[in-house]
Amino acid sequence: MKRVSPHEVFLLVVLLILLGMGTVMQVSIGDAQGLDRGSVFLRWAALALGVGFVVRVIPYKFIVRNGAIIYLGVLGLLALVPIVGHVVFNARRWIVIGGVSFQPSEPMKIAFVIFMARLLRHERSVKRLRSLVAPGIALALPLSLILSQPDLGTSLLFIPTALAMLFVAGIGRREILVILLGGLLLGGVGYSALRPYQKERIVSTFLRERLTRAERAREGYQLEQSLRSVAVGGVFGQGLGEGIQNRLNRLPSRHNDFVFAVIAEELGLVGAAFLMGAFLLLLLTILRIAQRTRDPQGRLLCTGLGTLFGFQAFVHIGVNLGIVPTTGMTLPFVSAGGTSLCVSVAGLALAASVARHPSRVLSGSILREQLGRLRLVLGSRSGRSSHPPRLQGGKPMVDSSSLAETRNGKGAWTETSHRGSRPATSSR
Amino acid sequence: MGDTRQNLLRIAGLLFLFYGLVAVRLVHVQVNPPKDLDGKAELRAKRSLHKLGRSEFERGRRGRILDAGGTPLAMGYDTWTLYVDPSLEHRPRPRQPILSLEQRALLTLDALGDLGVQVDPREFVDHALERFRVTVTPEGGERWVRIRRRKLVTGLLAHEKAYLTDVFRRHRIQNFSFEAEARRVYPQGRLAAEVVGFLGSVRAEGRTGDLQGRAGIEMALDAELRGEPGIWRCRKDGRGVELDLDGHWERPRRDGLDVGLTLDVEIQRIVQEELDRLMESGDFECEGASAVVLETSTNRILAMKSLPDASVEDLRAGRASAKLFRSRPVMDSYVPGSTFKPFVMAKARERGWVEWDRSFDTQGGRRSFRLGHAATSVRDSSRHGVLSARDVIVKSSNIGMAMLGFDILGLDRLYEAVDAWEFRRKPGLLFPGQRGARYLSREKANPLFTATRLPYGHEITIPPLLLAAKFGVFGTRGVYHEPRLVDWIGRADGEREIRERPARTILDPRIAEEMRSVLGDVVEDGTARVLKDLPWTAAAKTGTAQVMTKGGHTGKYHASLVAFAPATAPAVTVYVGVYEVSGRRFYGGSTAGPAVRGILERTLTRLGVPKDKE
Repeated sequence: MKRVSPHEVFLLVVLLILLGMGTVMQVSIGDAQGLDRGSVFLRWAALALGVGFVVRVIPYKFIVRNGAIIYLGVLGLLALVPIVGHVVFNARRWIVIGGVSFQPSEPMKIAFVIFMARLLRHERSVKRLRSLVAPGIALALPLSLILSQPDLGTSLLFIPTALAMLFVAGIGRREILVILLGGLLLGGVGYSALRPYQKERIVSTFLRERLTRAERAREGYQLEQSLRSVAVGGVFGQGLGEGIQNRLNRLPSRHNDFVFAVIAEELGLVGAAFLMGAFLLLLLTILRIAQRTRDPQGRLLCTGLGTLFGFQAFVHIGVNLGIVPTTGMTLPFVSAGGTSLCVSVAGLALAASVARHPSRVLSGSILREQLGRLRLVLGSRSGRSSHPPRLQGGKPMVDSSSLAETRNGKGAWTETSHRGSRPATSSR
Repeated sequence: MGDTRQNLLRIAGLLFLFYGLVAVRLVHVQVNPPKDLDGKAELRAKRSLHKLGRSEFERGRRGRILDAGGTPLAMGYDTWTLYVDPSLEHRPRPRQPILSLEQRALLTLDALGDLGVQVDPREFVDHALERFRVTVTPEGGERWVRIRRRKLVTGLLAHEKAYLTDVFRRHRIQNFSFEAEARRVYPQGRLAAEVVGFLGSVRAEGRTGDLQGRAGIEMALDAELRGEPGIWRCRKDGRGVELDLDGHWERPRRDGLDVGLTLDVEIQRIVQEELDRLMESGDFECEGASAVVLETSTNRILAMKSLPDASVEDLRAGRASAKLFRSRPVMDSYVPGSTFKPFVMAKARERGWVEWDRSFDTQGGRRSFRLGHAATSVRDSSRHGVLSARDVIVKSSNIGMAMLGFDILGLDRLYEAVDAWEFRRKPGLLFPGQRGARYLSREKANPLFTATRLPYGHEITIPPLLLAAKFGVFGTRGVYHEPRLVDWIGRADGEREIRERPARTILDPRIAEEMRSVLGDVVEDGTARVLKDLPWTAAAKTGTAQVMTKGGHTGKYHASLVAFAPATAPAVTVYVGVYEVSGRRFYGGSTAGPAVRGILERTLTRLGVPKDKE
């Protein structure tokens, strides 16, 4: 039986805390709305944990290796949205398959991270500007599809995630400069292309103090109510199920996009700080896993996931507190929404999977690699052959791709064994 | 490797920065909120939470009004109006498909079809689905208004409501609701319409549609009949849907009390028929008539009627005016004329100011009275010559009574005699708009005109009920009961509060006996001979008074007759007044007399009073 990594346990504990908080808040919100949100959330949480367990059992390398298929599959679903999607609140984001409706943009986040980890696994893949074309296309396709839904919030999550992954993959300063300049240019063009309500939201967030009460009520209603909820909460909150703003149904979409405001209202600064602390711990753990793993794919995967969750939570809380323009963004593991919950837990399970296999490649590859090295060492000692040994049938024991996987950036062999085992290098 | 680690640290640092920013903002908003977000927000929210009320009212059933025998004169039942709130969302059970608004409307339509309730399906569905309506703003523009509540079907009965409620419960349909509407029926029609009264729509407790008594007993005992609405204290979610958990009755619904009247529907019917006959007789023209039947020994009102009248149905249909629901015997007062004479004479006798054998020279039917330079003349309807005090009453001599007032009593003693009857006191019924008698105060009275006219019932107006009730004193050896219309208040089949009225002696029993004998002679030999051939002895007094305006006599009369029978042991007192009579016949005996006779005969028969005359 494989040993469970302490990081895994830590991730699970934090996840359960967040899911518990989510359940409590959904019960409170559902109580005010006369809806049974608590048990719906619990059912989805149970399903999400099941999905997470399955994802954790599958070695992450297998998933990353099939990243292109996953990415293209989800992209296909995303492309179906404009054709067969449901319209909810003037946005076409949902499709129904087998009686279950879900947002393809949610699994796209994880699929994108997986595919990017696959694309950027070689260091050379980001050293040249030309090599950024493939990641650029991988980013542009879902971005444009999600933007057209329209879902500005979700689409903007892809950019920091991609940047962080590129950054960790070793992107050069010149490339960073180009990307930043391009981003600024695109941002300028993008603002002019925004819809009027999106511009109003930006104005009402950053120029709130200058707006009259009527203007605030008209253009930034959700923000006003959210801020009021947070302010009403004070240090210790109004008590669970006792939030006035919540009971009066003042804050629309508070079960998903404004759940943090309800937490701040009912649990106060203490509860909100606890939640933020839990998220920070979660992110630091994921980034720590990224740091510890010797596998570039795992590192990239964890970087992407950590940035994704971290940025998503930041945007959600920022929207609730009025420092980010209002956009529909769920708080991972806490907000209602089955697709979001399943996808988030699956993402966390991927990070856990990396923690579980900090330096391993697929077991078959390991075997072949170890055998190859053994023969390499034996061969060099006996002087029979300086060529890599071959298996029966003439296939090399270590093919070029697995070699690449086991080399570090300087072309040297990396450690592939468990802690305590001796490194197998070509010099021996 | 080192680069990668550093890059990861940079990313972590950036995220820390973001979270630090968020934390600073959080502390700022929660610990030191901007002015527009401080405690005022909380207060405002709490206030509106209170304003929402979180409560439901359930109106109590209005009590019944019953006659002495338990026959309902007014009874209430609830009908229900079905409303739709298109903005309410459907709350399905787990694994239950979400029904669209249209499906919900069609389910309801089906259920209504099962009940046989006729509705236009197209209109029903249209109304159930319509979520917005367009209104025109003062500037002439259009404005879309969300429809919160729309009336769909009215007049649903309790079992229909229960069936629909069950359908809604089974399918968890929540955007249909009911509101009770109190219906009131008056099974006896116009029989005692002006006594029972009617209900009108008023704004009560901030809610429209509540009904309140607007006349008669319905108005006088509205609080008792109405009951108290129950307050269901419950928590509602933001959409106004009651949460299931903690609803409770803060104040339970209390049904209204029933009211038992002293009226007897059968006697009321007799009175109604006799008055109808009187009005339709064609022997004279009159503006209206009224009648009161009292149980002489207790002054319980057995019947009371005014004509012209109307039923509540007529009123609701707009065929009649609410003015017809005026109970004249209680609410109006009339010049009593000669019916007042016995009261003055009896008190004069009681005080010893006059003897029955005292002579009054009526001088051939006309006599002048002088005081200083002022003079007035008084006429009798026929010449009587010299009359005894007894005959003054029997023959109804105005001159004799004027002589009593002016020559014998004088103004002071006359007022002492009249005031002793306490006619100014209201009858003290549980009834709206009661009146007492009105006459000039002693200080304003004219020593000539008042002293000559008041004794024969002019310069005074008395409500017929009060006159009839006091008249009964001559048959009860001077014992007077305050008249009673409401017998009890409570539950017809349970606890009742009996409304007894105190009795007191207001006339010397000996004088009352003497006067009863005199009034018996009025029937045998006087102006009320119309009652002579009844199989019961009777004591009566007629009255005829000119209807005067500022311009003088209008040529019309108020004619009345008040009587009790049997004279020896009176069972009932009957008063009939005919108002603004014109034509050849206008005296009380000839206009009101036949009606009194008919009422007495039929009432005494109904009550099983043994005949005391061959």
